[in-house]
Amino acid sequence: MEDEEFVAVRKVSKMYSNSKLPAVDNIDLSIRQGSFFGLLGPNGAGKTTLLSMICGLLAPTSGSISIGPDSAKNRQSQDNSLLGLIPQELALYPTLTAGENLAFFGAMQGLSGVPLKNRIKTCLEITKLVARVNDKVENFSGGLKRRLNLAIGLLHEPKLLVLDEPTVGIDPQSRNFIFDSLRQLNNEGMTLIYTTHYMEEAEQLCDDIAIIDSGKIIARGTLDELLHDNQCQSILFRTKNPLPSTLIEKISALPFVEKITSANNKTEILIGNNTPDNNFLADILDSIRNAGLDITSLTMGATNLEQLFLQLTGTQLRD
Amino acid sequence: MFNMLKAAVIKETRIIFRDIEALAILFVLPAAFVLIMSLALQDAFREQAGIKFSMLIVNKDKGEVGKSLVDAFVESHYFDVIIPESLPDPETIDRETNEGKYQFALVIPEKATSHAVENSKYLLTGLKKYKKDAVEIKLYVDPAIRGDHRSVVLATLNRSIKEIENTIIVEAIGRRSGSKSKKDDKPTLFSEVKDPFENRISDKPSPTSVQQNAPGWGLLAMFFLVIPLAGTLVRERSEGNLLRLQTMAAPISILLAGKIVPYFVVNQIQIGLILLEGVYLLPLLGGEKLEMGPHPEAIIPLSFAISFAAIGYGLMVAAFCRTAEQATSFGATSILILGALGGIMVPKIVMPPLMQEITVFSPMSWGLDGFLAIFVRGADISGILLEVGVMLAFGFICLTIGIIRFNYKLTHA
Repeated sequence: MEDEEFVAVRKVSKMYSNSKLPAVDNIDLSIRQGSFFGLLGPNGAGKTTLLSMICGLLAPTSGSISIGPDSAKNRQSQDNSLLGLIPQELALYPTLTAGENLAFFGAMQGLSGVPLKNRIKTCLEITKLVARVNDKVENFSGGLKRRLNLAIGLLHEPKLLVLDEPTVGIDPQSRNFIFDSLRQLNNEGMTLIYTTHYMEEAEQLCDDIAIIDSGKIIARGTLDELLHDNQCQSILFRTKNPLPSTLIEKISALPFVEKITSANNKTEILIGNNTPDNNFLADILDSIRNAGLDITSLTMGATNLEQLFLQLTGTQLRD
Repeated sequence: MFNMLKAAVIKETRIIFRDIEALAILFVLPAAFVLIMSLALQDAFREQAGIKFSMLIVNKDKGEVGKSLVDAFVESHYFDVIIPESLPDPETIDRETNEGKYQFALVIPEKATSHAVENSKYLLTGLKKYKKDAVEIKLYVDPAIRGDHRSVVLATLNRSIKEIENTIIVEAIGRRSGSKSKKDDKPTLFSEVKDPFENRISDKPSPTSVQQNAPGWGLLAMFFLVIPLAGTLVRERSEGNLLRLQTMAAPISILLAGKIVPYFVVNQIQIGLILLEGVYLLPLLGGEKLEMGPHPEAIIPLSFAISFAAIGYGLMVAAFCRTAEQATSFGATSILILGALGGIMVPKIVMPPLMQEITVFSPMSWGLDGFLAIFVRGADISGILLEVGVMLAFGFICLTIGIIRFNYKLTHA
């Protein structure tokens, strides 16, 4: 049951009329039922466009998307009852109370009467907002607003919850609470799609991660798979003495070196994606030894998702 | 679907009535404008409609002179003649005109007719036994009356006296010569010079200050809903509410309908309160009472149509604005321009002809014309069908453009 495909994205492209390049370029993506899927990418990589198409807000230029068991149906013709969206913006009415916000959005999901009241109660309990039900949202802290945002997304008991950067601007306690709530929902069988710029969040939460850039999926797998598959892309070493600038220039001039940063005797070298073999390591070590420096420690490969993300998507600033 | 619409209406109603600034714009500001402008422009509108002076006439004469003078002022369109039941003394008359109770007071002395007739005999015979002092008709004037108005009244009075004098002399000559010509048969040497605009003026409505200002500022207030309506809609789009709603079961049309219903009700409350203000509050503060004509029921379809036009315009503004600030500033500015063009701030009747023609481009002009037709011309529902039709058409066009643009933005975000 858990290995069943729940979201199917088949050769999907999206081209905006005001752009020469596709925002999403021929993506194939299958998300398992019950998975906690992390979609990562720099600004402008195409994640919002892909999410919008999964949510049925945008139609693909080509390809098809479906969610749920009825994969034969195209996303545009499917109803939205399976899906809950937690947008990045705080999609709330500040002059209404938490309860009034929930009642309105619940009604918009087709709920009414006792079932609506029961769901409001349950969602308030999940997000620990029972005591604030009659307070106006304009008096809420950022964390409370995020929790209410989550509660609204859960009102109609969706099978798939799409969360677009749901922890922006909140304190660690609120973030931790939201993480716990999401883990709990996932454990109960809900499929989650989670986008974030905080890589440690994806590391902590997601059991399936895709990195998207320039409209294409450039890496996909569990955290371990991603780190293992890309282990030769980064070299981190410490030396007894700082690297002289002439040596830094010499190493950065090597053809496979994409970037070198050195500070406080700690040096990190990023290796270009197309480097064919491991000879570069010998070249680098020879350069250091010839400069009379002693290496005290050396690590190869990305040690965390952030390093891997920067390796794969580069360090150039994005719009 | 009904539950969704109900929830959307309740949500929007709560948002409106918890927004103090919006309530002030929608209710307090126009009510204050109606009050201030109606009172301030009261005299100016009276003049525009034709000046009427209040005149107390104390007629102590029992004969033709007193009667002719009273008739002359009663028949004139420019005077509200007051005839006292008991004859006040000169001091009272002087004091009351000074206090502004009457703008003019005319005292016709006792035996004015008999003295004038005697004098006419003296004029013809030269016999001293007929000689009497000239009849002295006394005029009291409120010191606040403008000089030009005083001159007009004096000219009217002296013209009437001269006419009476001529009549008495002609009759005396007739009696002396034995002519059998009757009083009414006297020849007319000059035909009367008539006011060339008399007929044209009577065709046009001449509203009172409150008849112009109450519906005028009421209309502006109704259109001012653009500010909260467009503001909340743009905010819903920019803050992700619409995005979330798009993924829900409710169609966006429910959300829009949920806005139309409460704002429509707000509009009806607005115009109702402003009309009540004109009818009951203004007279208490010394202003004129709002006269709504013989068919006040015609206000209902008119205000429905105006509301539809205002909401349509609000949704169109919301569809084209990117931020709530843009919607607020553009909404307010455009309404003020439409208001000025529509004769709200400056009545159309004082505009030059070209400007009067341009007013057709403002929906508020049509709305105001509808109200003036009901209030001033006494039009019933059939008499305002054109205005209602134009307002509905304007609202429909705005709504259609707004929905098309809105859908485009939602699907091309």
